[in-house]
Amino acid sequence: MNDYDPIPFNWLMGFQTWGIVCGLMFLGAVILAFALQVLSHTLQEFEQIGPGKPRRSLFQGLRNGSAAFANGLIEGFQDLFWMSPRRVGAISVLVFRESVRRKTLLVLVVFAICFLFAGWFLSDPNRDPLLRIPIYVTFVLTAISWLILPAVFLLSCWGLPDDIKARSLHTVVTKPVKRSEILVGRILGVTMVGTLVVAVMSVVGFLWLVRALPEVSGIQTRVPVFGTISFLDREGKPAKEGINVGDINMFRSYIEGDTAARAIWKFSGVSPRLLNKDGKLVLESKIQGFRTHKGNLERGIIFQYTFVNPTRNIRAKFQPFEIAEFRDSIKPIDNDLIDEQNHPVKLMTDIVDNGQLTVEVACLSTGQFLGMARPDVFIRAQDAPFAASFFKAVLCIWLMMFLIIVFAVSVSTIVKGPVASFLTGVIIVLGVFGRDFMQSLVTGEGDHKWNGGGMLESAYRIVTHMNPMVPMEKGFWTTVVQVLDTPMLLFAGHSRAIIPDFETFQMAKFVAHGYDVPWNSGLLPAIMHTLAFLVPCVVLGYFCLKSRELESK
Amino acid sequence: MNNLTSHQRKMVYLVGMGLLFIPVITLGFPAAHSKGQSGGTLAQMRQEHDLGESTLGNVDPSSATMNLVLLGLRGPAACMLWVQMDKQKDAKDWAGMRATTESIIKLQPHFQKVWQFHAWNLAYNVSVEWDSVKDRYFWVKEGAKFYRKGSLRNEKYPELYWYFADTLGKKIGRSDEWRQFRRFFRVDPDERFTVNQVPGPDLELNPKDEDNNAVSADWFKETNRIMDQYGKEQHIMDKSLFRSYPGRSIIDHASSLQKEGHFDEETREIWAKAFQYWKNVYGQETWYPAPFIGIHLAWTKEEIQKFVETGTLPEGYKGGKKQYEIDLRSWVGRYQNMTNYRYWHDKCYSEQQKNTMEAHKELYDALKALAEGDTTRAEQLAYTGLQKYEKVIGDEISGLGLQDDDLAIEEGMLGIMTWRSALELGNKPIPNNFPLRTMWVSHQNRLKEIEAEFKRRISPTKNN
Amino acid sequence: MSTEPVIQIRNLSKVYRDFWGRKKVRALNSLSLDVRRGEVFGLLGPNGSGKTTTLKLLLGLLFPTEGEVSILGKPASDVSKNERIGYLPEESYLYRFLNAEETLDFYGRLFKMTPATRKQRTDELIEMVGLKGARRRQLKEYSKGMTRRIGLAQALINDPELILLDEPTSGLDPLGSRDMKDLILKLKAQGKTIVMCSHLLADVQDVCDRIAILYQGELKVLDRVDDLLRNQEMTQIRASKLPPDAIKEIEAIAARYGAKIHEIGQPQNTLEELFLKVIRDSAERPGQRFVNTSAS
Repeated sequence: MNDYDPIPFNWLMGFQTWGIVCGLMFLGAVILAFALQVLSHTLQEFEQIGPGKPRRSLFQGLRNGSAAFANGLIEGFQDLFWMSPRRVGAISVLVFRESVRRKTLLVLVVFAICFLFAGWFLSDPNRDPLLRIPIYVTFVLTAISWLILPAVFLLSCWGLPDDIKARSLHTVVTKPVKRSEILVGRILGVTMVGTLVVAVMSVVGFLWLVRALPEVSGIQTRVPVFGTISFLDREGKPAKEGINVGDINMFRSYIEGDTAARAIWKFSGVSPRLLNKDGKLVLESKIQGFRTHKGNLERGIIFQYTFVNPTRNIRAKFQPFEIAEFRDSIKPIDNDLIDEQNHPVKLMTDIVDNGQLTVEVACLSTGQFLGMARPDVFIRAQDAPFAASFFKAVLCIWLMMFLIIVFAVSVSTIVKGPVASFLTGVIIVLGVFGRDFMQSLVTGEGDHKWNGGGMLESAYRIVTHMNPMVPMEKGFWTTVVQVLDTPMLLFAGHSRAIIPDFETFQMAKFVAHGYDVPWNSGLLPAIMHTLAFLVPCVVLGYFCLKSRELESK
Repeated sequence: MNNLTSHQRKMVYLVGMGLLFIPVITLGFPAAHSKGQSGGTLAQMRQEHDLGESTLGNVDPSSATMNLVLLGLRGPAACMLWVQMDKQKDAKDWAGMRATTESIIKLQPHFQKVWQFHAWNLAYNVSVEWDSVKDRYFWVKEGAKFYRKGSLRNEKYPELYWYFADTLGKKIGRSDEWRQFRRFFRVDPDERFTVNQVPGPDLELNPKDEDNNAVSADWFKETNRIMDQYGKEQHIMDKSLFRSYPGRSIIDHASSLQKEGHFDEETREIWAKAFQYWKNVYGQETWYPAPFIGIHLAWTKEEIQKFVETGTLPEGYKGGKKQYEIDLRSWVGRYQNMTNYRYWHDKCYSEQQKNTMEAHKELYDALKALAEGDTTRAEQLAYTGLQKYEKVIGDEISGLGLQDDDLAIEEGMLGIMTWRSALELGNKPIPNNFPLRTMWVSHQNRLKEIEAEFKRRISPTKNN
Repeated sequence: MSTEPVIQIRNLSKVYRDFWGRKKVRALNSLSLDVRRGEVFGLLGPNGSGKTTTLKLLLGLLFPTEGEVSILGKPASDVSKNERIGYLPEESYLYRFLNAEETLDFYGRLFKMTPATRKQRTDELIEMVGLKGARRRQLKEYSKGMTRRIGLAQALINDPELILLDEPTSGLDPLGSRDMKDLILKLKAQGKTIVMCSHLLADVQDVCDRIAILYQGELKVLDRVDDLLRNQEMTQIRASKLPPDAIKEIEAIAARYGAKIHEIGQPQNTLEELFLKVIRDSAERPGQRFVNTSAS
């Protein structure tokens, strides 16, 4: 988990974005469907009544069209809410059988081959375990996700179109089967195959990992409790962040040694529940150092924790220690501490204030710097077994697979196999590689910063060869352009949400570096992400399939 | 137009295919394994131009598989990996970066610059990112091992051997952390190299538990051997300098020991070894700087004269014996200057003398005594040391080269400073006359700089 | 046979459009007809006349351009009607990777049936269509005739009231055809309503009570088969032991009325003759349509 700040899932923001995007999408779909119904009915009336009375045909068309639209909508929601588990089950078992008999499980053979030769491509067996574990774990998890994805991807993109093309679906729809049941049954069927494959792969992968890295079976994954961070500058005044020492990586900011500069962490929810079995509170850090002079090469840069109760003004220092860069620096803190006035104080009762613990970090080495970011100091709660973390990561891969199945099957209700594959492929590629780029395109922040305004403004700049750094002249037209650009950017910003963010499902960053997959910033976002796509995909997919004449080619 | 039946046409195709196969088979015949067979033309050409995997070095099956699997996409894949490697380096994801490096090298196993770039990156750029010296040492070793692996993959080419030896010698022996690194080379901090509770060296780099410079010298010798055996050029520096590195490493070995305060027989022996190598191996190599000219670096004026008198002029040389002697002398002079041959020759000669070693030792001990506050002992040691050192500098054979040598001057000046400080601290007057007085007087311009060094050495290290 | 309509088709039209919404074919034009409970109804017509389109419109596989369909009292788009319908498609569009048992079990699961009934039904139907020896073989190994049989079995899995058969005898050998026709009559005897479309006239003639002949999407003829085939212009006298004198006398009477007797006896037309006549007439006088007075 190098330089990764696990941000807890934000319910409010998540639902807000989801609501807006889904709402807009449904609104668009509803308006489109309504317009199409009215149009087709009007044309029909026009043909029947004759061209002489356009107003009457329009009126009739509007009436009949609205009625048909309302009927369809009501019927649709009935279909979506009342599905027969028996029929859905029958269809999903059928799809499962189909996939198995089409030799989908051969992907397991590919997987086996991968693992047979993995040793060749992974680093030497005698390398430092600190470096080996991340690589091996990442390899296993990546292999699982990259092998399962193409398999389910093809199954879900081609299944329904093939079924329609071979007309085997015709026979099914002449039975009392709702279109929603066909859609959901197919999704579940492919999911069953995928689940089987993921299950086998993950168990085999886990066993392989234990065999290749015997130390894995013994390791525990940490369950971190993160806090918030704030800084004091070298004079002890509050600062937004520390010093930039010129590192390309801007993740950490630095405090200077032997000055009043501090990094202050505040942890909330601190209770005896977080203590280890010896009754100590474990603080772990991964602080980095930056030397402005050689100093003593034999010793690391020295830093110190001070535990503070700001309300009662109690300050207790912990003995200083050296940083251990890129390694775990674990310090169990005794409950009995001595405050600065040499009075004994209790950590859990005197320092922890209403469940809130404040820890100040200072650098004691003169002229040297310490670099810190929010996740660099955390309370280490009771460890979880490695297997739990590993299988949680697998669960997230499963969720990602499910999301792709839902998406691909829904798309394949309206387009043919090749188009569905292409569309889903584009979504995957964009979701994996393009999210950051799109993010910075619409927000103007991040890796691809831009200048020069929104679409209209930049178009104007391109045509007039205007440098993007030069501000636009103030005036009526500038205002118009900028006012028009705002909703466009807003629209683009929300459209971006249609592309799933596959990063949400990548838990290798936790597992590989010995962290438990957290609920709040790991599993929950992944689950919510999947659900967020599940609902609109199924609804749209259903209406597409329902409005489709299966016979017409 | 075509009256052949379908059957006849097929037969014609078959015969045509058969005919086309003949050149394919003859040209593509695999390389012969037993002697006496020449193999196919393509195989021969591949061998001749070093294009076959197996002719370049040992073959890594995974690398070959990867290149095969990627078909024509090796270039883009390598490109993507490079970008990824760079990003991981920026993000300080060392494990990831190391793995990516490994993948890159699988795609470009015979691209020496690639090996060099990554090995250098690991040994120099990654190692300094770590705060702990032990960690730094781990990465220096990673870099060195990487060079070694590269040389195995390209075993006929001297460059990666040279860099390997250079990393063992220079990075371990001369970086800021040289004291720790040199120690770690014998006693690795990594617990995995502790055998029977005795910490030992990383056997991959130091199988015989030797000084880093000794190992480095061996590898430089191996580099030269590879060069002689396969006749491949190197593109690092002029060949005359390139070939001197085994000698230089032995010199480094001895100097490092002195820097660490070892002024004993062992050190002298190493100087003697260095002198031997410099004079009898490196000095005897033949160089051909111009047409008709073949020289040895060790040649003296007299030897050149003798060579010209006893030998015959090379065929086609325009000019007489006199001119030939002048030419040879001028080239020997140029080459000696370029390689600093004489200086190192004199230095090695001088350092192996008992007197020199004693001078060094006494001056070193004097400084140490001064730092410890023992002024009387410091004064005595410094004085006798200076006396001996004056003899070393004044030596007819070797002293000439040392009189202008910055380090030699620094050592002398430091000795004088030690002596003077010891006197001052003991409240004694400083006599007007003392050994090496000429040096003291003529190098007053360097006084400030050397004083700084002096202070640094006598004051206890202030850290952090 | 009751006159209660099982299927009511009113003004049904279907226009196929291309991708851009332009009219391509008018496959069905204002079709109106009723199918009554308990009868075997045949839809006849040359290729492309709209028979299959009609069936598919009935099943909701296609959506009508105009008009309405009521089937078992429900609109065609209502899938719950399918509970009581069995459909045998033109070619058996089944899942080729399933075997006979799995096929019937799968389709059975789509209906409200208890597992026991499903099992029993499956066994019965496999027995009935004569696939007992091949019940565990995958459908992709089946011959055309066997596929037809399993197709029929799946159509009957739910013991339907209304059975729609698209070319039921196509691909069957004469013996198979005979079996199929016997089966249709048996089903009729059980009180089921059967709609079949076919271009094998002999089959239709053998089993259908009423037929409709479609040509280019329009209904040309609709009536009972025996009525349709009765030749109105001719009289057939069929008598036993009619003496030659009597025949002479009859001939004389006929001569007096200006008629000539070719042969005493009144032959039935074959359906083939009727069919060809209808098609020929329609081609000569396009636009003439059968108007079903009772239905509208």
